[in-house]
Amino acid sequence: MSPPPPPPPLGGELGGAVALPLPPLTREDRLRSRDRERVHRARNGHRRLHLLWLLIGPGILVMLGENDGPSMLSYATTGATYGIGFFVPFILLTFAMAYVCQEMAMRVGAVTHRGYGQLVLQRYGRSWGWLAAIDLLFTNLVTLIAELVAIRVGVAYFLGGGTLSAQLSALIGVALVLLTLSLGRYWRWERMVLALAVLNCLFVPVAILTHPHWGAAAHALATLSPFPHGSINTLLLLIASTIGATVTPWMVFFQQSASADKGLTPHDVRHGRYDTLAGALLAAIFGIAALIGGAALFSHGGGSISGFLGAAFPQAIGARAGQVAGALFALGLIEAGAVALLAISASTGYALGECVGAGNSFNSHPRHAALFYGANIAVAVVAAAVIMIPGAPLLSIALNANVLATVLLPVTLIFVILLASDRELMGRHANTRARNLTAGLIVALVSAAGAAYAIDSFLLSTHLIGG
Amino acid sequence: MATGSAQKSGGREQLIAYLERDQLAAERSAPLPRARLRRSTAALLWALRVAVTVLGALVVYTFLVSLG
Repeated sequence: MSPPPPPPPLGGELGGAVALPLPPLTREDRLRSRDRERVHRARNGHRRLHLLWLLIGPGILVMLGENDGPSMLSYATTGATYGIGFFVPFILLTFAMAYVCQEMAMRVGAVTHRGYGQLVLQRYGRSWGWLAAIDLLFTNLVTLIAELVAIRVGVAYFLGGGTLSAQLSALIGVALVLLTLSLGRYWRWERMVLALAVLNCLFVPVAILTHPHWGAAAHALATLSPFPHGSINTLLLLIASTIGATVTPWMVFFQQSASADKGLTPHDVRHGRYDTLAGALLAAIFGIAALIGGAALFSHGGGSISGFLGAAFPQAIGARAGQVAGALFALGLIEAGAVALLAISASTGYALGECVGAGNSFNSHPRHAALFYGANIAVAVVAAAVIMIPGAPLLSIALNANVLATVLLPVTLIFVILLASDRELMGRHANTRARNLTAGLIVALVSAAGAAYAIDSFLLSTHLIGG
Repeated sequence: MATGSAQKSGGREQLIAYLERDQLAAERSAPLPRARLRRSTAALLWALRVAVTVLGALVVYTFLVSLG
């Protein structure tokens, strides 16, 4: 085999041909260079599948991370309450919208090699940068609590409820964060979390074991019908909350920062799009599978399953479709919660590191990126501690955090569009007019849904309207 | 001595030859200039400030009511 041609000159697209003295090199540079060398060899050797394998990661992780424990329980609850109908194509539509937003985050990360928090702070001022970071910190913390509760729901299927399940869930969460952080470099962290994320497919056999009416699912996909019946306010709230949660702030922070940390360059944007598209398709399929699994309970009183985050769901599915289906659903919840926990805690570390200007890479030694590693661990530890507090208002915290995340989402999305359209930063990779129009329409829809969700929640909780 | 230094420098360059210059950790942390905003963008950001303040207050109020 002939050796690969010499690498491109240092400086790439933005550095130009001027030979500048090299800045001091760090461990982060050396590890990223090794990863890029493999990409370079695969590209020059025309090994397309190997190249794709090397470049996928952040897109699949972010989309499967969005299929988190609470989301899968929410899809199953929606199926149990309203049946398949409208929501099968609706899930597909929400992931199509998520793709448009996340593709921009990936592209900005690959072209600028900088994270979202850092760019917003430097380009649009400290107040916006810190607002984004503090919003992210708060909503991430609460989302992590919900992830651990989802893990607890899964664990409780095997061990029964009570403090043992809560303690074990907290232990699993913190241990996973510590284990993945100890791997020492971005590539290993990404591959380990990807291996875990693939298990999101457990919801597919659950759907199959419930023996759904596939013809009805295909009809729903083609016709967006039947439109669900029930309280119009509850339904609108459900649709608004689902659209409003199509993209969450952590997803944007994570994918942009992870793309930069992975070392993606403008040459890799096409593969970054494949990665994001594959993630969106897989997440939509697995989300629809959870909905179909839940829909098995539609005519069996599934809508009446109550309790925080549908705690009785694995048992109900087990009773309807067999213990194997119940066990797979429970394992799926543990997996979904765990992957989201890892991705969300990483996004917290990235955001704080970027805003403070400290090291923020999995390729950095913990000594040189203490804030990044510390925030990653601290946010998981605090969330684990909260779920073990007896009588903590977890439901109220989770619901209001969800509303707050959707209210602040327009801020995140508008800045993603501004960054992706910024020709000084992006050069020829900046958004085209058509792309801006599409993204603008999606952001307007997501923002309107988020605002409607917040206002509706306010009116409901203050009893100004009925539920 | 000079040969050793040149080898060290060459090794360093070889090591990071696969990176774009602005991928280096030192370059990534270099500050960027503030964006020049058009009037319409500045107005949009102000509208965003107002919307976030109002809706954020609604959420906080809702949370307090639900606790109470």
